[in-house]
This record gives sequence, structure tokens and C-alpha cells, in this order.
Amino acid sequence: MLLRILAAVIFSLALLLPAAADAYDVLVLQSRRDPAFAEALSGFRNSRAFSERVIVLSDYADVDVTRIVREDQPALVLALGDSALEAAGKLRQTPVVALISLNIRSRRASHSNLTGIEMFASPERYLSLFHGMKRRRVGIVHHPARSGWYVQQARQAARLMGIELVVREVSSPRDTLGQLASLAGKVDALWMLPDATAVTRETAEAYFRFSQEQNVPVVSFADAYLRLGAAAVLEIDRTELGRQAGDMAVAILKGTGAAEIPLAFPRRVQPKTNPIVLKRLGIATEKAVSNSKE
Amino acid sequence: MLPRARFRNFRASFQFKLFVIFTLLTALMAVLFGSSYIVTEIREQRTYADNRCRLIAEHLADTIRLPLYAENRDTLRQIIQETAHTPDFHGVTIRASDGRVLAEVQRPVTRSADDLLSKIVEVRSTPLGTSPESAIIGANEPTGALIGTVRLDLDTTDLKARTRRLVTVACVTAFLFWITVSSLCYLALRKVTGSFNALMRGLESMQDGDYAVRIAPAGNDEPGRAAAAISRLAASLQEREEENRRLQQKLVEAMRLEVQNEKKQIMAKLIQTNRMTSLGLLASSMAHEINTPNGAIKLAGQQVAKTWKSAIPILDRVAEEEGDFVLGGAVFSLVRDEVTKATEVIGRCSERIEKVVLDLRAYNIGGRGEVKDKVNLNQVVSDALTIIRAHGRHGNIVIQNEPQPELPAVIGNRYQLEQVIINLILNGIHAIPDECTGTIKIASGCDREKREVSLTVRDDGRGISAEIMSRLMEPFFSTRMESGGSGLGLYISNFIVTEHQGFLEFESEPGRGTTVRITLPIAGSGTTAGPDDTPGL
Repeated sequence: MLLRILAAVIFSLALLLPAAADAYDVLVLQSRRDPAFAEALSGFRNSRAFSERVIVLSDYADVDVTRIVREDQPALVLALGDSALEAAGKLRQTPVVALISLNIRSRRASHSNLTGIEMFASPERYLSLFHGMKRRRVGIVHHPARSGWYVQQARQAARLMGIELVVREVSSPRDTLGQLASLAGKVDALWMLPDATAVTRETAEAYFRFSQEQNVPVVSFADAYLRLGAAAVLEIDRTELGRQAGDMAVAILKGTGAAEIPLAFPRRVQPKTNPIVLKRLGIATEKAVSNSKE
Repeated sequence: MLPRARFRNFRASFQFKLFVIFTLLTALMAVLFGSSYIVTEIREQRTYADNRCRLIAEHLADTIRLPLYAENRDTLRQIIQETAHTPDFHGVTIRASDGRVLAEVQRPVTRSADDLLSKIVEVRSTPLGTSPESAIIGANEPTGALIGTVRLDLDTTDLKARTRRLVTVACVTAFLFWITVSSLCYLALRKVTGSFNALMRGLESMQDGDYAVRIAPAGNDEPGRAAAAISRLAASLQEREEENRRLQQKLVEAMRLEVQNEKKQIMAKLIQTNRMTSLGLLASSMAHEINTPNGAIKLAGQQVAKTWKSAIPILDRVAEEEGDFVLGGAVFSLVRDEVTKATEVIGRCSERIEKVVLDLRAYNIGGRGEVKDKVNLNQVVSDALTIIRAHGRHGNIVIQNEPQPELPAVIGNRYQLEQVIINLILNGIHAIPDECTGTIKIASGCDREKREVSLTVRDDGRGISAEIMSRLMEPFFSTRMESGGSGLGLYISNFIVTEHQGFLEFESEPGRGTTVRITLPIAGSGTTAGPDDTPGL
């Protein structure tokens, strides 16, 4: 009898213990192994000790995220990168927090349970930079479907700060060159947005060529462009980005619906400048940076 | 010197050989360096053209990156037109990444593929350009995105023309270098080999016997020093030659004098010989003149003796019958023997006259020299003494003959041997000073073991000095040349004895006389040849 009871206990434990091991709060979908994702994930983990499972999508040829979520029943999915966001796009019940992706806003239109943090710094921060540089006419090239909402906010903010935004819209990358050319002589600064249509590998050079030809500063969103000739950038702090996502996750885990949490701008951005370019353009570096920090 | 010979000498000269070596080496160097230069320059030009084409194409690709991406054909064509100003431009073709030709410019001139240098360069976005996604996450994209391609064609006809010019210039330069260096080499060689040439000219002159030539030293180098040494040697040779010429002149003068003396002596000897010949002829004639009456005397004497002999018995009976009577102024008993002796004396003297005449003729004629027979030397000595006595010039000199009995005969010519003995005896007589007494001893001997017969003639006269002794057998050498000596006596005597397989020996000391020994081989059988004559004197 005793042996039967013991066998029943062991059998029950065998069934229950794996279930206990598989139970976690956050399923982390990481597009690929990259230091930027590692930094964001680190910040996410620092915000609170979530139980998590990390899946790097680039490690597998095909990952059935839906099945994993159905089987594992995580409380939250953290999508890092565009691939991860796309993979999590099929999920409807599980809330998704997206990071480091340019398509969060467009996805959110069709995914009610999606929230996240944009890769756009707040327009005010950029405008402060332009203001510090004493630039009053700032050119913008963008694709309305991708960054129209942001340009709209920027217009409002610019108006308040007395800066005129000269906006050119493109529908394909090839249009960028022509639109940039149309800005010649009409702007005294160029604002490069993280718009995947307006800025591509092929057209990125055109911004900086325009900068050289027109002697106007380009303010961009990533320090990779500093070496190409950008005068200043607002670099997003990825660790802080992870912490910010952690806060969203905590709210979701506490019961707040993802749809109730609006998309947010990064809480912390780091202004960086190219002193040589600024010097050539006759712009005082300290003033520009100090304004952006305000 | 003929031009051909001069050229042959020049071709064999040290200068020519060095010049040929330098010229060939220079030509080889010019060819090697020229070829190396041409090959290197052609390679450099090709590399330069290739790099230039690539750089132009890459520059064009860099320039058209954005218009190409925007497919702005007008801008592309405009940029190509600017590139078309390149001097050797031939054509540019710009294609999109999908292969569509977006812009193309070709020169109207048709060129073959060999005349074109083509480069196709990919047009890519700048490697530093990144997409927003990559820029945000900081990812690196090592290569830019392919936007299209640019094909650039450069015309290489100018390059080929430049290459031809390069080859021509290099060849002309190499040729001029060769000519210049060869000319300088020739001048340098002329300068360097000047010493050799001067030396050779001097040596050739000296080879022709002209030692008066002095080689002017062209420098202090080895040939110059050799020239100086040879000049000194030539001067020395010239001095020697002049010395030799003087000595030769003296020698000629001396020989001329000697020949004159010799001529005088020969003339004297010829005169003497002629005199002797005349004397011989006179003697022959006298012999003939004497022999005829002597024959008559002999015949008459024999007749008288015969008559007397037959008259004696008659006269004896008359004397017995009538007593001794006077005949011819004397009594018959005295006259009988005296007349007998007288007839004998007549016979003997006529025979003696005949013999002397015979010997005189034989001595003079000498034609019997070829006759050889067994000869008794004792008999030959006796005959010689007969002639010597007839000569009569040995007034105070005693001639003693000591013949060896049973002397073996020798083979020879008795008249020649007699002439030898006469010569030796006369030499002995002449060796004894005039007005002095002396003795000449003649002795024969025999050594049967050696099968030799010897005859010794010894005098106690002046003797012979060693200097004269060494020249005794020379012809025409005589110590009595002034007193009629021919200088042929001992020469002929030695010749005759040698012809008889014998030899002649002299022993003498000045003041103690001379001994002459004739040694002749004994005749084959070794028999004695007839009885000896009565020893004389």
C-alpha cells in the first residue's frame, strides 16, 4: 500500500515538476543575436526579475511562435526587432511589448494587444537641437505612411518653437534624391527621420552630400551617421529602453491591457555631435548639446 | 705598307681586340638595358593605363551612385559627357542592377576589341551608409548595396602609338649610347694603347736593324717603362754594333796584312817550288846527258877489262919468257894488278854513276809512287845515304848507320820511303849548326811481337822547342823559310808514313838533339827482303 502511495506521489511529481519548470512570465523573441538587443534585454531584466524564456529567431529556420505561446502560456511577449515583431504579429490574446522596431505603430493598427516604445525621440528634443543651432527652417523628407504621425507632432512642436519645417514626402526610396534636391536653398538644416523609405542604404549618402553642398547640418537618429557627416544625433539609450519596456511589462502583468498603454517615446536619449562638422558649419557644439539636454 | 696589310695588322692589334670587346660588351649592355627599359616601360604603361581606366571607372561609379539609384538618365548622360572629355575615351555604358542600360555614350569610331581597354565596375552604395534599422541597432553592413554597373572603354591606339614611340626612342637612345660609348672607348683605347703602338713601331724599326730609333715614352705605365728599357737596350746595342764594326774593320785590316804576308810566303814557296821543278828538270836532263857517256864508259871499261883479262895470260907468258917489262911507264908486274883494279874501278864507278843518275831520275820523276812491294828498310837507308853523300853538305857531320840484320821487310814504295829518310837525315843535318861537328845515328829495329819495324834517326843538334813541336806537321811551316825551306818535308813525310799504315814520332829537347822514329808494319809473311847493303861510313 505504502509503495503504491509512493509511486503515485512520484508519478504526480513527474507530471507537475516539468509544468512548474515551463511556467514563465515573459517570452522574449529576439530577432537575432546582437549587442543592441542584449543591451535592451539587460535593461528589461534590470527593471524587475521576470521569469522568461528567450528565443533567438535567427537561430532557427522557422519558429512557430503561436504554438510556443499556446503551449507555454506566457503572460507577456517581449519582441525585440522587426523580425520578432512580425513573428509576434499573429498573437492576439497574449500582450506584446515591442522594442527596437520601426513598424510598431503600423502594426498596432491591426494588433490591439500590442504596445511598445517608438524609435523616434520626441520631436521637442530634436527641435531643441535645431534651436540651439539657431536653425529656423528645417527640411524633412518622409514617407507619410511611416512617419506622418511623427511629422504631424513635429509640426506642432516646431510651431511653438518658431521653427519652420519644410516637409517633402516620398513614396519610394528613389524619390528621396529628387525631394532632397528640391530642398536646396530652402532650408538651413536637415532632419533625418528613422523612416525606412526616406532613408535607405542607397539614399543615406544623399543627405550628407546635400549637407555638404548646401552647408546645412543634418541631425539624425543614430550615431552611425555621425561618421558619414551628420552634425548631431540623438542616440537612444537601449538599456533604458529595456527598463522602460520592463515598466510596461509590469503594468501589463498587473492587469493593465496592452491596448491601454500608448506607444511611448524613448525616455532617455543621448545627444552626440560631430565637432568637426559643427565647426565647419560654424555651430557652437556646447550650445547645441546643452539645448538638447534641457 | 699596303692597305690590306695595314688592316690585317690593325685587326690583329691589341687595340682592335680591346675595341671589339668593349664594343660588343657595350652593344650587349645597350641591348639588355634597352630591352629591359622597353619591357618595363610597356608594362608600366599598361599597368598605368589599366589603373587609370579602373580609377576613371570607379570615379564615374562613385559620381553616378545617386543618379543611378534614382535612375536619372539625364544626369547620368550629363556625367558621362563630362567623362567623355577624357582624351582616350571611347565609350561608357551604365546599367542598372537588373541589367537595363540607363545611359550609354560611344565614340563613332569603330575599334576592335584589341584596341580597347575595358573595365566594368560595380556601383554600390557607400559602405558607410546604413539603413535606419541597422543604424539604430548599430549593426555593420560591410558591403554596400549593388546599384548598377559602369563599363568604361578606353581607346588604346594612342597607348600603342606611345609604345611604338617609346620603342623607337629607346632603340635610338641605345644606339646613340652604343655609338657614344664605343667612340669614347676608341679614344680611350687610342690613348691607353698609344704606349703599345709607340713600343711596337720602335720594335719593328729595331727589327729592321735600325738601333738608332728611340721610343718616346708615352707615359709612365708598363708599356712606357718597357719602351724606355728597350730604348736603353737599343742604345746599348747600337754602341755594341759600332764597337763590332770597329773591331771588324780592324780585323779586316789585320787579315789584309796577314794575307799579304801569307801571299809573300806563298809566292816565295811557289818560287822555291818552281826552282825545285826547274832543278828536277835540270837533274833529269843532266842524268840523261851523263847516263849516255857513262854507258859508253862502262861499256868501254868492260871491253878494256875483258881485253886486259884476255891479254894478261899473254903478257904473263911474255914476262916469263922475256922477263918483266915496262908497260905504260911502269913495270908489268906492277901494272898488271893496277890495270886490273883500274878496270874494276872503271866498272864500279860507272855503275855508281848510273845508280846515282838512276836515283836522281827516280827522285825527280816520282811517278813510281804507286808501286808497292816488299821493301827492306836497310836497303832504303843505304840508297838514301848514297844520295846524301852525293849531296855533299855534311862536311863535319858523321852519319852512322846501324842496320839490324835480318830485318823483316815492309810493304811499301821504296822511293817514297827513301824520300822520307832523306828528309829526316837532311833535317838532322840542318839541325846541327854550321861549322860544328855532329853525329847522326840511323838505326833500324824490329818488334816481332808487335809486328813492327822501326827506323830511328837521331841527331845531336839544336833540338825543337815545344811551340815548334806542335806545328811540325803543318804544311808550309818551316824554321828555315828564309834559307830555302819549303815547309813541306815533314808534312809529306808524315803523309807517306801514314799512307804506309805507320806513324812518325818525334822526341826532342832544345839543345839536346832530336830523335825521329818511323814505325811501319811488317809485311804479311814477315820474311826478310834480301841482303842488306854494306853499312856506310
